[in-house]
This record gives sequence, structure tokens and C-alpha cells, in this order.
Amino acid sequence: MERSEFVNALAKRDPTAWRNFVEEYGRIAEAVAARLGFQEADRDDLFQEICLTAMRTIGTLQDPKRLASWVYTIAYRIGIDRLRGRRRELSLAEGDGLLGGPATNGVQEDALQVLVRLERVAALWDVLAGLDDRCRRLLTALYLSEPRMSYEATAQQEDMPIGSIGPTRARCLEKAARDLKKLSSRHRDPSTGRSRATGAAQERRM
Amino acid sequence: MHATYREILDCIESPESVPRGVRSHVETCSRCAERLAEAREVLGDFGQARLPSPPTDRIARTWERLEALLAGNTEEDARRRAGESLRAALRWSAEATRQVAAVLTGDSLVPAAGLRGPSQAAPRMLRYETDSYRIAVALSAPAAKTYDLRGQVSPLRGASVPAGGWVAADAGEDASEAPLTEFGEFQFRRLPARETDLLIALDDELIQLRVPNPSG
Repeated sequence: MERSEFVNALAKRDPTAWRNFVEEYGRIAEAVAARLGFQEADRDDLFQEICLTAMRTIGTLQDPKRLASWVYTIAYRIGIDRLRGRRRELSLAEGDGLLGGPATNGVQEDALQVLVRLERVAALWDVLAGLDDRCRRLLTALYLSEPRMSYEATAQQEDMPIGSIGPTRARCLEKAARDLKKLSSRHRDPSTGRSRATGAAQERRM
Repeated sequence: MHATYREILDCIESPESVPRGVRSHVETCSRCAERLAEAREVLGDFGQARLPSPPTDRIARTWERLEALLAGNTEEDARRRAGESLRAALRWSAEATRQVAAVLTGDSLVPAAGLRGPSQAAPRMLRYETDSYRIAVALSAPAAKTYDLRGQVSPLRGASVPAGGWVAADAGEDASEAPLTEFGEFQFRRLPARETDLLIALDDELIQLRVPNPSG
């Protein structure tokens, strides 16, 4: 199903589409929750809140091509809000960054770097969804399938000569790199020119 | 001649397979070096792109809540629907050509001079009037902090109320809406037992009245 059809189905509250959403895009929610350091018990609640928020606000998604980045943004905001709330509860010292705790222990810095990476991964999912069917299937088989598929298995699945996997992969990766560059330059924070998580990481260092 | 993207990928993944001429070109050409850096980055991104699935029990629990939301069965849904109705009512009221406050002219709890003494019997009866309508409201005895409200709008002139009217009940955080029947009747069940504003929308007229707390 094309991304725009999928988002339409979500907006129409199609149960099958939402079930797929939880299973597929829930991975982004889960990853953000894990990277922000939530324990298992809290993660369950956070995961549900992210999915429920997505369902309530899917109508506000302007660009279906940006679904994964949108989910990342929801997960990031909800996660950060919760950490802030927890920090207030614990009355932690002032001057800490978004992720709480003293800036010198290095943990938050690492977490922010991982979040930057995750933000790019969400953007990559969006780019992948916008590629032509052949590229999308090939790159999904090679990089996103669980477990990762060999060239032989991919060739068999995609009904392609094994010799054409390499050149096709190169063409598809080149396109993905180009689209990703366009996407990241278009969607940076207009006031800082930085991504959200990068911005937070850099502010911490100042 | 610049390196192909495949050669650039080979420079990253299997440099030993790349002819020396190509490698030295990539090292010295700024355009190829830039593409090499981009390719390295995108390969790194793809290397991280496989995110683990959430645990199946987490998906199941979340799905239960989403299903309830899809079916519109949550308390939150009911409040949202009521809120939307009330907002619609308020938008309508802003556009209405005539807004009137109905005056309370009778209450069965209050003795009416020359007519009768106070009555504690349920339902409590209230009567309101505007220049054009009389509104009778009956309140059931509160139970479990809720009560039922029934009412009827009767025109002082003419035979019937305009078609398509509706009533919104606003009791603070809770709001709900009910249609007016062709006989001008309306009812609300299980309203919270507190002071409630009724907005009665009739064609181009919006009547506002306040129903006292039925618990006294």
C-alpha cells in the first residue's frame, strides 16, 4: 500500500491500518522510549500514549510522506515531557538539559546522539516509502528485514538475477541519499537550522 | 571521470576490490569525496534502520485501547463528542439573530402565591418563559450524583415549535446535546447533579436558561 493510501486509511480510522501502524511505526515509539531511558514498566504506558496521540491527531499530519518523522516527533515530545515531569517530581537541580540529570555524567549526551541518529532513521523510513516500488522492496529486504536477507535470498524473492542486485542497490541507495539530503535540509528547525535532538545536544554543550 | 556510485559504495564496503586508479581519484576529487561522505552516512543510517518490534503483549494492550477509541467507546470520546456539540452550539449562538434569556416563572419547590404550597415530590417542576415560548422542565430525584431532565418547549403563539431544533446541556466539564421532537420535547439522562445551563436552539432564536442544582 502506498504511503498516502495508508495515511488516508489511518485518517478514516481503518482498524487494519491502525493495527499495522502499531506494529510497524510502534517500533519508532519503542525505540524513542528505550533511548530516553524509560524502564519497562513506564515504557508500556508511554508507548500507549504515543499511539493514542497519533490516533487522535492523525488529521493534523500535513504531509503523508513524513509519517515516520511525525511519529518520531510525537514520541520525542511525549517522552521529553514525561522526563521533565519526573524531574520536577524529583526536584532535581537546575541547569540540567532536556534529558535530566547532571550534564557531566555523559549519559544524556550519548542518549541525545542516539536520538539524533533515530531522527535520521525516521527520516530514512520516510524516504524509503517515497522510493519506487523496486527500490523500496530491495532496500527493505537488504536492510530492514528481520533477519537481514542475503543477496541470494533477495534475488530469489524479488525475481532478479543476482548480478543485478549490486547495481540496483547502488542506484537505489544513491536516490535514497539524495532524497534524504533534500528532506533534512527542508525540515530543519528554521530558527536554528538544526534538527530537534541535535539542537538540544548542542545547547547542552554551550 | 568521476567514480560511479557503485564504485563509491565499494570504496566503503570492499576497498580492496576497487581499482587503484578509482581509489586515488576519489581521494583527490572533492565532488567524489563529498559523495563518499554522503554514501557513508546513508549506509550508516540504513545500518540503524532496522528497529526492534515492541513486545507482543505491549502491542496487544495498546491495541485494546486503540480499538476502544476506534469504536468511540471511551469516556474521553463521550466528553469529546459532547464538547464538540457544545462548541457547535456556541458557534451557532454567535450567528443566531436573536438570543434570549428565559425567566424562571415557576418552581414546584417554591410556594406559588394563591396557587399551592411547596412540593417535595419528584419530579421537581420548573417553568420558564420568554416572549415567544414557555419551557417546562422536570427534574428527577438525584441518584448516584446524577439525575434525568425532561422538558418541553411550547410556543405562546402558533401551533408548534420550528423543526430541527436541539438543546445543549452544559454542566461545567460535562456537556451533552439532545434533539427537540416535533412536539418540542427533549430529555437528558444521567446529567451530573449540579447547576446546568440549557441552550435551546429554535430556528433563528437561541434561548438560554439555568436549571438549579437538583440536590437543592
